[in-house]
Amino acid sequence: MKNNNKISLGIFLTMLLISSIAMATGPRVTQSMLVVAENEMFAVDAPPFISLAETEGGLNAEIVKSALAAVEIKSTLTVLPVVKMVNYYLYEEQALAVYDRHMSFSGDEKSLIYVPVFHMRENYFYSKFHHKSDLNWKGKLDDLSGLTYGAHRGENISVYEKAGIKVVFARHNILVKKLAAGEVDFIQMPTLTRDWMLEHDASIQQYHFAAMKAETELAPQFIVFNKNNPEGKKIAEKLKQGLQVILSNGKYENILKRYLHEGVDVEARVEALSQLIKQ
Amino acid sequence: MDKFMVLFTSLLFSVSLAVNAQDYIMTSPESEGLSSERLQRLDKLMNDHVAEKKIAGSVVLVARNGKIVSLQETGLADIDKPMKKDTIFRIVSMTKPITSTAIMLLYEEGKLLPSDPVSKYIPEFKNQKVVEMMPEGSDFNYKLVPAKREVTIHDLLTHQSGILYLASTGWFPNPKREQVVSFYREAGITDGFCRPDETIEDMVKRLARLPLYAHPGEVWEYGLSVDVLGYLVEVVSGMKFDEFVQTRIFNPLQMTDSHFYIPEEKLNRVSADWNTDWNGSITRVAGDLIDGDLALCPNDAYETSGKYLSGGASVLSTAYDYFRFAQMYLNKGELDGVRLLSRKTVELMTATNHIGEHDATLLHSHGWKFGLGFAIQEDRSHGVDSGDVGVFEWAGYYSTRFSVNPKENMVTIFLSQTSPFGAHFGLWDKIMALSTSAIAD
Repeated sequence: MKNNNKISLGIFLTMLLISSIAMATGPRVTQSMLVVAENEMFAVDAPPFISLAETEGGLNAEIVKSALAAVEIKSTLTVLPVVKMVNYYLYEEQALAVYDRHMSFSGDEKSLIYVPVFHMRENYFYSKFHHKSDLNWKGKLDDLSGLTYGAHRGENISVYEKAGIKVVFARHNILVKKLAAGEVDFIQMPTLTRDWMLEHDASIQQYHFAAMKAETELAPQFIVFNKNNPEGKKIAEKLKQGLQVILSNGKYENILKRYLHEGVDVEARVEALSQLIKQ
Repeated sequence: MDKFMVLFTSLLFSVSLAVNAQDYIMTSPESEGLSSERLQRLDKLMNDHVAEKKIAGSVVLVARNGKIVSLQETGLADIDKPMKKDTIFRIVSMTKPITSTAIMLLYEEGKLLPSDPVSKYIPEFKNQKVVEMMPEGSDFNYKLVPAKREVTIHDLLTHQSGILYLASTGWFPNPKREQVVSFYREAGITDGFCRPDETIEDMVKRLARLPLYAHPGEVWEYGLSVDVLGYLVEVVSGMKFDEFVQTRIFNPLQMTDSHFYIPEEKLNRVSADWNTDWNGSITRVAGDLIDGDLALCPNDAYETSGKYLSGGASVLSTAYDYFRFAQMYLNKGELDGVRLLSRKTVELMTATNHIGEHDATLLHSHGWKFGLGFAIQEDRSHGVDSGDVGVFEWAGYYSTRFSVNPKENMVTIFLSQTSPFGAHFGLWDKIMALSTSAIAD
């Protein structure tokens, strides 16, 4: 018994010594503290679709995460403030997937797989504070010749230039501020984004962002997968399967209802994605 | 001069100062071991600079042993408005030591440690990347590599985080710096001198997700690190940054004329900003000063409210208020019976070995180190000398500077409002030379 106690004490002291050495010698701030992201995707801030201000990362982030979770795949979405970095990760680091509402890809299109996740309409908005009478918009860009359009970085602007519209580039939040300041005459965004901005920045409410009458068609937004990533094809296919699961079990619809206002036709969006995923 | 004459001169000087300096309690230079005659050289220096149209006006304060021995205003605060002792200045980067003080107050409460990774409080700082330039002809001219370690609060206090100022592309141009700043530009990051229409939280959370210029601890790079500290104060204290500074620093030190946004009733006390070619031409700045990535907006000093609270640049103050702040440091953390920081914390902040082999050469030279908020003179074998080893000081972009000399128990403050600041290094150094050489004991 006495010997057993000695052995136990010896083991205990040895363990204590080892653990104290480890604690005393371990650097406090090292690279090993950095989190290794699993199935990392990259996206640009685009509230409320992608936003760090939203608990679950935004509407599209939640859809993708839920769909992949439904097929037991963990994923990480890294939200970046600049398109340039998203492009870098896609083409230089062969990232698994990327998302940006206005991304135009400069590299090989054939290496990309587009997976639709959500349908939305965009609209042109102007400020009633700066344009007391409505803009003379009858549905054609030629009507807006001479005005200044605030474009998102990466957006195709040839149609505006052709219509004699001046173009100023900026990231989304800055475009909204420029619209409020009267530095651009109109910008394009979903009504959902306009409402999100008004909710999060009371100072822009006085500028009365009004939608022009003609609205774009309901169009899909895509998560873009990279075939050059070893997991790209597989995870893209898994995402489609996962989307089918959450479409059929009602989870997709529930996510949409949390983000969309009353009056928005959720069913139409569920149906539109269901049809597209089947193709 | 015999003792009687010294006493008599001191008495006469005190009476005259008491009349002229209104509410400021002043004493004669002689009673504190300084020469009045030599201090007048400082007055002449400022008068000459005004006459030569190198600056429009200034306020210079010299104090020793906690007593103000000289508080001299010169020239104009604005067109047709003479400079006054209580004129309010944009102190810009002299905000930074105030922000460092806020951090160290939280340190003394056990709420944070300099060794803490910033991501512990601001998760966006997790997994940061560093820009590495690639050879010409590569698909991308840069690569983003994982930081060797996380940015710590100490890195932010000492400007070793790898976070830049956009304006640094003009000071020290190189392709890597240009690459990092191009990310800043696209993300809408500014140097904060123009009070952008957003909160400091919004700015810091974007900045945190952009790549660093260098691995943390491997460079000394003056930049937006202290703006990050301002937001850190908000996260750790649960208070808005300006509210924290007001209640924990300005109120206890009775810095009644120091503000992030100027109260309306003090608008007429704010100095104009001037642009000089240092060669006889000086003009009042009417609009913004945009020079490449450097954006200065002197008119934003007249804004009475706003969202942006820059820990690196937003404060407006007076010579007297800043003297009280500097004197608190000279007194090892205490002023007029109010203890803000402990002696040991001030000793930690003013130690010279925080930045290793690097030198704080931006405003000074080799031989200057950086503590937790100030540059500190480490030796006297280099060109820029503020009077002693251990002198600590910093300056502001619109040409302001403060200097604390613990060995001689002196504080010197110079406030002007003239751009570009690069022309002023010589003037600042002369002020320090004349202030120090007035020591007569």
